[in-house]
Amino acid sequence: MILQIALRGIHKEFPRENGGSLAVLRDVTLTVGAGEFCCVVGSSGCGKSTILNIVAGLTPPDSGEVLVDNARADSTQMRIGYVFQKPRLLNWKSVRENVAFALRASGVSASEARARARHYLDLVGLSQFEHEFPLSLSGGMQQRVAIARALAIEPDLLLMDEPFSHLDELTARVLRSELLRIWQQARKPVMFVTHNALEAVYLADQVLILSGRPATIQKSLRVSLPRDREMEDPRLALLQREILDGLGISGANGSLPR
Amino acid sequence: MLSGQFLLHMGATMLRVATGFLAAFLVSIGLGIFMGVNRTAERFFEPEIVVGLTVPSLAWSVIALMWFGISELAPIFTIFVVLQPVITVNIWQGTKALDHEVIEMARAFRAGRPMVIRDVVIPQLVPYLLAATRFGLSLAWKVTVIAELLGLSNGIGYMIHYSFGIFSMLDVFAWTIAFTLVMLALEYGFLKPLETRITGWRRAVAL
Repeated sequence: MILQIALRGIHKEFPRENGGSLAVLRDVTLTVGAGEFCCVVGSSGCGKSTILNIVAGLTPPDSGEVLVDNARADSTQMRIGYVFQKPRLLNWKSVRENVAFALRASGVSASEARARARHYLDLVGLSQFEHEFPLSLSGGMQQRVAIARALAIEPDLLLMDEPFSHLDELTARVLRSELLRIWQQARKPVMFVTHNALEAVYLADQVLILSGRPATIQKSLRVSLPRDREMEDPRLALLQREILDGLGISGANGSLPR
Repeated sequence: MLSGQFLLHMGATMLRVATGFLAAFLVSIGLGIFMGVNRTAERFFEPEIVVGLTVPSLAWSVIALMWFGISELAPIFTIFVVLQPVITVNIWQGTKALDHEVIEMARAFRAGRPMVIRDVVIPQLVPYLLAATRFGLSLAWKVTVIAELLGLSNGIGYMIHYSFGIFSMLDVFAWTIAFTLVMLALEYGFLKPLETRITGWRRAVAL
């Protein structure tokens, strides 16, 4: 049940159209402890999503390894809940069928999938929309469906790739606190990628700061403030400052790092 | 004219249309998907498609009648060669337009290949398949009638030609209108309801 995820010396390059290659990740090493909420912060396009895709087994690393409980991971053996930046729903299936799809994919029987889909939709407050098609829902509601889908399979590990970045701040706030509430019940490790430093310190136990491309872990930060944090807590603001400094974004007139 | 004779000729035409259309449809689905996922196949078959789209169906009709003589094979072959490039283009474009993000999502959730094809890929191709069906069928009717007019001894096209031979405007109109009514019935009684049923999700309105 205790599940610790570790990445050791991950390198990744992507081929380019012109024949060369683009180094995206360089020697990425990190550990996410059992039941830990880990945020990965970096500027846009630095390879944050690639880290998640490697953990999920969608992208093979060029070198390095993913370890689960100190053994080499067979990613097909892990139950992974993935929430993407965009909802990525199957628009031709009803809300409930979308959640049930992930359950069916992980081998749950049709009748159990239906019941569990309903339960998790209830958890994200969408039970009355279960028969609607995704396109009839707002962006925030669609993202909730995506979250319900990831939670419903009762994952060993939850991967979240800037899940709230396309939402308005009010909706994002509600969903963040709901996410924490659900996570505190389930206590499964979470890897949450974001470029929002305040979001990171609000959510995380551990914040990893990535350098620009090729990305490597530049700094790791522990956030030991007790839960039920307030976004406006001045201590969070201080930590946020520390992260922004780590990213090389300084002061009020700061400029983007190269 | 109605009753027995009409059913006989209509039946002959319908049978040709159905056979030629089905053959073209099946080949085109395979070829279109192949071209959509494989660059080499795309480059190899593209000239065939362009030529196929360009050659007039009348030319194909004449060629087919000279090759196969007055047989069922001539109109069916004509329908096949005229429809195949048109339907293939549709499926090819549909395959290229597939949303790879949702396919990646399905893989992240460990959906097996049969599930990805059934629940993720095919639903995205359905609108293209429907458009191809509609366009293909309407084209097939026209092509068959030309083939029948040129060199066959039954079918709607033949009867229009025959009516023209005895210079009966009334009969020409009667055959054309009867034929059009059958096509309309097919469109509104079958294709349209089918489309509404399986692409209903697209009409949903955002809150």
